[in-house]
Amino acid sequence: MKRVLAVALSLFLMLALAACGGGSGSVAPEGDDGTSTAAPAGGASEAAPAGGDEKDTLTWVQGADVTSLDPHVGKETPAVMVTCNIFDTLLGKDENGHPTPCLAESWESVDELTWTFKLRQDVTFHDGTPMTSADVKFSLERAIASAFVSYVVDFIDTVTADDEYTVTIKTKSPYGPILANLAVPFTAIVPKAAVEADEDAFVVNPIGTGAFKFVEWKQGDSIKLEANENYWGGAPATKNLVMRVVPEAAQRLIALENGETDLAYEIGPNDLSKVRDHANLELLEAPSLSVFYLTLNTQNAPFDNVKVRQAIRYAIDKPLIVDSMLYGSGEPADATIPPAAFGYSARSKVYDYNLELAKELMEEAGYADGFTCELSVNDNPTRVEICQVVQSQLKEIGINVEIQVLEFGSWIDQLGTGEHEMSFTGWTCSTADADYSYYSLFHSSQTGYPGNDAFLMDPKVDELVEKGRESANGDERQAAYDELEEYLGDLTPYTPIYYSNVNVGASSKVQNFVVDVNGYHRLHGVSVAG
Amino acid sequence: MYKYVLKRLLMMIPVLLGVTFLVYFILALSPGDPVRMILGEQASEESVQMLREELGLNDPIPVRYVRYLGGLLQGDLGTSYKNQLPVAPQVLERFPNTLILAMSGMLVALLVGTPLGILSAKKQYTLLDNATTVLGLVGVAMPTFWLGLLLVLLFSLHLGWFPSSGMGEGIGPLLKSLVLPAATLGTSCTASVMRMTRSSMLEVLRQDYIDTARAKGLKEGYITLHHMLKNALVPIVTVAGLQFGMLLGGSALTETIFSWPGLGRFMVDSIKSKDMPMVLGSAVFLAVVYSVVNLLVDILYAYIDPRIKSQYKK
Repeated sequence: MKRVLAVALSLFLMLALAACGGGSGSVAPEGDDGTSTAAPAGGASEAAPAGGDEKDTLTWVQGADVTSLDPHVGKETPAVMVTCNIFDTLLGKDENGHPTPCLAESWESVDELTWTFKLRQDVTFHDGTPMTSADVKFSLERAIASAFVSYVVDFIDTVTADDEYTVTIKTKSPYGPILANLAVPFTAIVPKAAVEADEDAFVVNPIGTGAFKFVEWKQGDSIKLEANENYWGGAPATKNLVMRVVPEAAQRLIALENGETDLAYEIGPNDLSKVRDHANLELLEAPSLSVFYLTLNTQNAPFDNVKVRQAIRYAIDKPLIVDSMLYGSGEPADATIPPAAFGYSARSKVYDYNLELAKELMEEAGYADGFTCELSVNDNPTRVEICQVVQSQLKEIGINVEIQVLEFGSWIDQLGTGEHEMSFTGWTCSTADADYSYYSLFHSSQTGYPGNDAFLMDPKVDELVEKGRESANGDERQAAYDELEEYLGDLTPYTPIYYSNVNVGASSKVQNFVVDVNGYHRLHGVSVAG
Repeated sequence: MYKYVLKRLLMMIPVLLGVTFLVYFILALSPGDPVRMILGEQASEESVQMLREELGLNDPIPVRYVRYLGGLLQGDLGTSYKNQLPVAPQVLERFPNTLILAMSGMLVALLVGTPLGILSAKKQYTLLDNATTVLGLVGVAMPTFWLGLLLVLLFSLHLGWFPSSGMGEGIGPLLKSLVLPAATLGTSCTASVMRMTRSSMLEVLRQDYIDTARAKGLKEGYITLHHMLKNALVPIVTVAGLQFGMLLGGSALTETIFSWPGLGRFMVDSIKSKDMPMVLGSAVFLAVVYSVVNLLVDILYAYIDPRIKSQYKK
């Protein structure tokens, strides 16, 4: 028996050695993921004999695996990073967040509850069946019925297929942001026939209309996609896509430096300068749709006092937090609406760091000697560190902050039930339409779990939020939001601190990559020089 | 012998019941609502209610537990809360990856630990003995995650010998991608195996039958392998078996650093998102594997030491 073991062990050793020895020169042209360890310079001369040729495989690494490939279930960003390349939605968005044609080539608002959409007639699913109004009706109804994503589409009352390429959507009440919602990837159009035939097969072998076809999912490891040559928007620039899961941020950077990957999503804050300074790498950044802020429970003393809330805003040095804690990867925020969203108003009141003014306000509020309060936060290291900075800054005006770190579930429960005094939290304006943030964060019907954890209940705020929501006219909506933002300036239930950035580390050979503000990077036009 | 194995297999049933009971109630009673964890900060109240109903979370915890056990008896590990896919195939897809990694880690540990242990026992209190002891302690004390990153920095980034992360496809790339994680995982085990080999060998070293063997004129190498090691093997195998069981469930850190798609990382992710069916499924599966490994170790004793075999017959 011992002899068998010895033979087995030596065999293993020999194989291992053989594998190490033969590695240096063999950059597989098919793009065997994870195996090409050659230095970038050596690899380049070998892989591009024709000169200026493009690689046929683009690899990217991301921090977490796809939860579900079903677009009406997998709503987490890591899932959508993949599925947004497989599926399309009725509408798209341009760089300013305005709706653009996608599967729907035109649309009109018939009355304040009714919208009709004309579909493109040249779209086929990856299995060859044409995309028609029946698929659209089926998909939207499926999304409404899915607990995971229904919150994006539950404004819809009915969807009807008027003819093969016309769809009418009736909303429950007048709903201005409809176009933005229909551009959210969770409203993706799926093939009715294939899903109805075998739903279990569909969710592990998704079929869409997107630029890339699904090939293989090795759970926890990788996903492979290949170009959809018949894509209605033109054939993709790269033939194969490979997504690899690399949970450690430091390892994602190493994989990028090593040439094991072409793109690395979500570079860690302390690695940003390394990518910026690297000769062969580029850091691509864009302000995201996420804002991070302190929420103050306006129902209880001392935060029911407007002056205290204003004092806190003056006391927080936002640029310092962005520079020191985020290594510059973000923007100081003056509002809860991200600038890239429709409805963002430039009329927000700006509270620049001003300790004198803050102290004065505290005195006027009757808290000249300050007070003690709890600041809760979930157990995310970056968030906790930011709270420590806030703690030291508020100490300057006499507020003695005790930080309370909670596990995510308990923290959500605390905010939802209003047991908090002050909490550090964030909000993503997923639809890139201000209504999504205003309605959830400020409307009195949304207090607690749904988002309004400042527990703000103000009739004028409600009225303006509803005005912005119900009009289908962009200018009218913007006017309502301008007025709202002016009114909120003094009321200040939240203390916005910063907008985070979406970042991607890229090899300098990557061309035409556009950073998506949601992190849903679409790779249709992206190529990698050989 | 067969009776003994059968007895042990039957004993696995209460063990599994205990595992499901503990895991289920710890998860169910810990704070945080799984539905809100899944739907995130922005979920609407309607969606929360809808999903809670769908997942059957409105029933009392004991009812849910009995329902889960009912499914388990029929071999149904349930459906994941998070991705709505059946649990069993997801666990089975990842287990071989963990097994490969754990076996390689164990191989490293045995390959390095046993010879070093023998050597330091035979040269007790020499410089070599002290050096291996110190090395062993360093190995145990070194955090996996730090060692892993150091290995990556040296062997992937600077030397470019091995890929920094991921699991290669095909024999060659697979072995190549296995080297660093296996070395990382093996290091801490190496130390325990080495220490156990040393102390176990020391006990045997001074026995009369070793002197007899020497007096018969046998070669030292033969004595070491056949007289000393064979008699010292039982505690070593025990430690190795326990370590192996631990590697199967406890390699989450190594799997995370090296992006290895194994069961440990998967379980930690599932715990974080309170995906109860996934955690339970993995825990039950690992408990079975752990019990089987322990049983195999016990059976192995019989082959190493005939005296133990005779005991099993009773």
